[in-house]
Amino acid sequence: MTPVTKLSSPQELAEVKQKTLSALETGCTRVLVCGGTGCMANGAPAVMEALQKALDERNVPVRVDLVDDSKEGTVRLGYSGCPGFCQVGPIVRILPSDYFYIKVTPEDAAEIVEKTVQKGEVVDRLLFTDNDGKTYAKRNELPFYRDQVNVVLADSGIIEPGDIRDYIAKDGYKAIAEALFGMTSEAVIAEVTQSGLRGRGGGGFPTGVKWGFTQRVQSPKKYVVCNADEGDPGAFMDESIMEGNPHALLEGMVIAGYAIGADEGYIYVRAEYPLAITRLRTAIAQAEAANLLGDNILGSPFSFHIHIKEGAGAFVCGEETALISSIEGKRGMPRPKPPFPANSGLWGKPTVVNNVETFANVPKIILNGAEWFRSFGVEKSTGTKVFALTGAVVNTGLIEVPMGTTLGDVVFKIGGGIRTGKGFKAVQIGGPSGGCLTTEHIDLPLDYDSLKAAGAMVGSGGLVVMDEDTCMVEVARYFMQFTQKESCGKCVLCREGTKQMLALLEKIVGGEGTLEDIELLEELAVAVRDGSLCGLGKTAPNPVLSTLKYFRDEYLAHVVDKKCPAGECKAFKGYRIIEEKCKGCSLCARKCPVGAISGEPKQPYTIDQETCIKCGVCFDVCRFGAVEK
Amino acid sequence: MPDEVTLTIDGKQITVPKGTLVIEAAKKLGIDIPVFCYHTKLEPVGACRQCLVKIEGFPKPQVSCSTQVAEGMVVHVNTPEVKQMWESMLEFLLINHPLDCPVCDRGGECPLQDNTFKYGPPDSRFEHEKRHFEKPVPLSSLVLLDRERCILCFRCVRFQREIADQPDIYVANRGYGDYIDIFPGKPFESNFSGNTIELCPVGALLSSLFRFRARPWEITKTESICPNCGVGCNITIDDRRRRYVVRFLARINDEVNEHWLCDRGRFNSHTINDPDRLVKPLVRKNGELQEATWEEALTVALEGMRAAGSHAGGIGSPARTNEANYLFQKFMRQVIGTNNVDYTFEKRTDGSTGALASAIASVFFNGRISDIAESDAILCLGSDISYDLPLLDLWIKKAVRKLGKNLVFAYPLKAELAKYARPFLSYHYGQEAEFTRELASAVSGTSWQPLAGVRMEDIDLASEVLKSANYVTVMVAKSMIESAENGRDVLKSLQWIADSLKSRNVRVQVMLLVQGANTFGAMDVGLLPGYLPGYKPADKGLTGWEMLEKAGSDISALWIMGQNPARDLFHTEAFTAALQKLDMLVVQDHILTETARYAHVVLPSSTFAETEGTFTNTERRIQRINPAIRRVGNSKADTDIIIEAASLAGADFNYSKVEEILTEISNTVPQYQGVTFDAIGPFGRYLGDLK
Ligand SMILES: Cc1cc2nc3c(=O)[nH]c(=O)nc-3n(C[C@H](O)[C@H](O)[C@H](O)COP(=O)(O)O)c2cc1C
Ligand code: SF4
Ligand code: SF4
Ligand code: FES
Repeated sequence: MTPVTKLSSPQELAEVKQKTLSALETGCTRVLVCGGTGCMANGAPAVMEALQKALDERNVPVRVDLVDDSKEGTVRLGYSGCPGFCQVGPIVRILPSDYFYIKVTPEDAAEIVEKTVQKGEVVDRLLFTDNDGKTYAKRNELPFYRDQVNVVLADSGIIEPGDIRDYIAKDGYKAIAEALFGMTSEAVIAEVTQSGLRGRGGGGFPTGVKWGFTQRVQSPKKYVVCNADEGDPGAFMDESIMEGNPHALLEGMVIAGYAIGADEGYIYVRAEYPLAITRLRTAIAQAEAANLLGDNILGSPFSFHIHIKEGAGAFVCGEETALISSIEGKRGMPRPKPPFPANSGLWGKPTVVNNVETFANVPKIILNGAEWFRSFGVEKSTGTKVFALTGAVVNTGLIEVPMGTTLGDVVFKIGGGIRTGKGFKAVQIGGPSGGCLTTEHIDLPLDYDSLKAAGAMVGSGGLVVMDEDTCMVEVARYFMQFTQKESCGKCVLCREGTKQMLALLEKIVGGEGTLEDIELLEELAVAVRDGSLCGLGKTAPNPVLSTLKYFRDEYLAHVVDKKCPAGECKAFKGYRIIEEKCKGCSLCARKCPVGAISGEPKQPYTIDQETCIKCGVCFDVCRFGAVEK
Repeated sequence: MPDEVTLTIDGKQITVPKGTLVIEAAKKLGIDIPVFCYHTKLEPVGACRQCLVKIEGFPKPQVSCSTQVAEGMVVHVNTPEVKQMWESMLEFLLINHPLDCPVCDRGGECPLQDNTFKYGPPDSRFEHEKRHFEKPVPLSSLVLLDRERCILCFRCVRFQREIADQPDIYVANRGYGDYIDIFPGKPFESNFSGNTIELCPVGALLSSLFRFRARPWEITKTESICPNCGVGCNITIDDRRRRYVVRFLARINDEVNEHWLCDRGRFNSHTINDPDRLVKPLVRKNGELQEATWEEALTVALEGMRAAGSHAGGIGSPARTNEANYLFQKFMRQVIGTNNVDYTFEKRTDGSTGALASAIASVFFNGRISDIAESDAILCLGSDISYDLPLLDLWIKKAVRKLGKNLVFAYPLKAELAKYARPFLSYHYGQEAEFTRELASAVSGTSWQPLAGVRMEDIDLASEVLKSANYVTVMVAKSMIESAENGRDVLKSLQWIADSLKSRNVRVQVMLLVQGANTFGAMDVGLLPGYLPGYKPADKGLTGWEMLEKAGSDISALWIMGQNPARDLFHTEAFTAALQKLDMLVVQDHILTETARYAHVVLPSSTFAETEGTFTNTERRIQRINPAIRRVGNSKADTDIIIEAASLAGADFNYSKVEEILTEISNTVPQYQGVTFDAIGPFGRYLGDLK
């Protein structure tokens, strides 16, 4: 099925928009089940089925086609993209009322249909409730969303990614029409440059400037490449955009192609994102049928084709030169720059490589102008940024905030503070390439330059919040283990250096570390950071260096006091019975799985440290608090 | 100059072309920067990070091997900070290195060892289980791999991919688990595999022939030329105690072989050390070859040859020096009194030798090897270059793959170079004359009919490629002119092609592809029937082929220097029968060859590794060979043997040094005018364009 067929002018595009809008506005209730990977795995398909059944049973006419306005008062049931609050999924949203139902099960379907769809009433028990018992009916009232500003994610979560008309109704592809019919390529580049948009893939390079370089290189063949490798563990913003609003990415790439003079583009997407790939394929097929992609777009002389290249998912393939060689069918290994892709990229041709989120911002900039875009964010970091907020906070999920929002606002306002009731300790930002921020950074604005100055980075946008129970040495070890495994092995510093750093960190968390080890670790980290070939090696030491900077005490405690202050590292865990408190009840001795506890009833018991496996059962079962860690 | 930039390295200014790498600029200033992965002839990869330097304006150190110079750039190399980085880089490399230098072939000439000695740390701070691999693993019968020693510089893989385009080896696995490997069931069979051994900066890639044969410090090196084909690659002969040749290594000559050798040449050192080398002359007595003195042997030989007089013949060799071949023809003509002299026993068509001789004399063949990469189109005719002249295969691959030049490749079979050709023209074997005429007609715009099995549109495409070039290299196999039916017509068509192109203002160079290391020289110095040195016409004589054909009738005595017709690929039986009909067969060689077994007199001669003299290669570059090892037993140099024979016959062959023979050649052969050992120099002297 192709919802829209060959459009041969901007007017015809505008007509589709008008038609879709009026169809959707004529008293149509939309029931949107979240179709993001998270909710889909959490039972969204069952919810969808139950809703369909509930509607059928009540003879509520359901729109099979999105723009079928033949019957008034009908209901449209469909999958949306991910609204970000995955923690509370499966999510069901009702439009136009914008009721926001969480943790929906198939059993809730009947009630939703009867109350909300048929009567317009809200089902209270499905609403989000905060710690104080307050409920929130509409999305934008939720504490999680209240302080977010949505530019890139504005439409994903409201539209159905499976139907191009839903995107067109939101002014989708209008930017292409404006660019192709009203702007020179230089003007497009100027607009993007003035907007201050910087690469969302981590490096933060000004996008317009990059396009300008590539545009100025003379070549009959150029390429646009979208980096959708997203190899950072825990990051899923690009995945979410591709699943929720794939057309925004396609539109951004077409505009980039027009700006630099390319007629072909590749999306390099990791094969672990099957849903994103399916949605992209559908979107490409629909855009091609609508003549918004392919030859002579909208009847203009400009042609642009997009292919999907599935990547095997190596982290290093996200590095642009490795990514290019992987598309070329070679081993994904970085090479020295220069030459930069702008001069010699895919198959030696001038190439622009941008991140998914970067491209998705572009249509909005063309439509609303550079000044509008600059109204978000701060002077040198404009617009918004999507972060994947995880860890010890109350609310986790995908969030979008203006650049320069403070760390405190993210953790406490949007994140709702620490879930465990413990104190806030740190965040790790930017994934394995990033660094940590601490309580002293609560007022630090999250933007490219402030983060860099603090020894962290925006990176891919992963944001892990940690409470007092987290050992920072272990955090550094965890990320080093990741980068060591992902090092491509091409350059010596990264290949050998990450291996050695990991060995040292393992030694330290294992209780075998020495002061010299810390020194050597730091020296290695600096050498690897300064001398590696590509960004992977250059940034791999960041978690080590920043934890050393802000939490050196913890390292020292591990090697000097032989203690893990957070109590996380197993090697240091030991259980002891406090004589004065022990009543000699023998409960612990009976529960110990290895029989390490002995004693006479009514006398204080003791733990044999040799036999003890540090499982902690004794600590948990003692009713007198006589076991200490 | 806009194409030059000036930069400062360690306080010294230098101006270099734009695009120069920092490391090359430093090299020009004599500033040493240690490297492992970088190699001038390979694309930089920046893998080993050894060459880090400090460049002002960059927050982090930069790899000098992949950073290009920029105007006003300020580079610091000899600073404590940089030295510290080099030291830590070496420490990294040694973490996994087995440090088994005492049993490693490379020990003593190992860049890792040398750099560690110069810049490395005194000890290692890493306590760590080193990587272990089975070792050494044979990648082929010639190349062994010790993965524990490998530092993963990828030079070997890059060479095979970038230069040889035979990617037989690759990097398996990933990250810390990386290792070099071959594909399952497919040995490392590239005919250039030996170069990776030389490129390997550690003892990871080893030659099975050299392994454990010598330690670098007991090796003496002698500059010489590979005697195996017409390219004349520059080599060093490495020997132990002036007695055993242990290996050949490439000697850099950017105009001939750059840094490379083919495996056929490189691994061909064993015949020199043959335990069965002849150490004394042999004379046939009572039907048996028996040891004799030089005087006895030469007397018998002379007697037999002189008895035959004008019915005697002499066949020299395209693998012997100019000096030996010159003296040989002089001896035959003046002392024995025969016009039957030749350097080959190949069958040649009537009149082709004369046509070729006049073309050479008129300097039709003026092609330079290094210009192959300069020209925009290469027309290669009648030779499977990859097999015949392997190093030229690399030049052509470089021109086509790296520089985007066009190759028109004409050969009856789909040889290796066919896949680089646009177009590949597969003419019918035996229709060389028709084919070249068709091509010439197309180039000159004359009408023609396709007769030689090549499609019209392919010939038209070839002609378009040639006509639209600014500079064309034509390479033609000598056999296409001399052995093909109507070979003279091939030559005429070539001249026609060259003239047509020149009339369109296309620059043209033509190269004669010869197979022997000194084929060109042998012809130049008059070892040709009917031609004296310098192609001066002489009385007619028989060719080598004819001499064998007429053995027992017109020819009753033969002196063969350094050839083995009894092992000829195609005519063993006929030749063997012919040899047996002779009253006198003198064979001059270093082992008892199949031919020598039929001889009446066998004269033990030196190999090229014991010889002083010159070779003239396929582009007509004269190059020197030098004696590396002492003579074996009582064997003698070819020149000495002839001089002795001549004086025994009472002739006035008065040369006290080899160079005096060269002087005589340079006074006789116009193109060799002024050539002396000194004038030739270490890289040879190109004579191709001299009248
Ligand atoms: C090890 C490594 C992994 C990377 N992974 C990604 C990635 O998954 N996605 C991405 O967009 N950029 C990634 N990058 C950054 C890219 O190299 C490149 O800078 C980016 O795609 C450019 O797009 P942008 O300017 O829009 O950010 C990675 C870089 C490195 C060094
Ligand atoms: S820094 Fe690491 S990932 Fe990057 S090229 Fe070097 S080994 Fe490969
Ligand atoms: S085998 Fe030698 S040349 Fe090849 S990667 Fe290893 S060290 Fe380098
Ligand atoms: S020589 Fe420069 S990185 Fe290896």
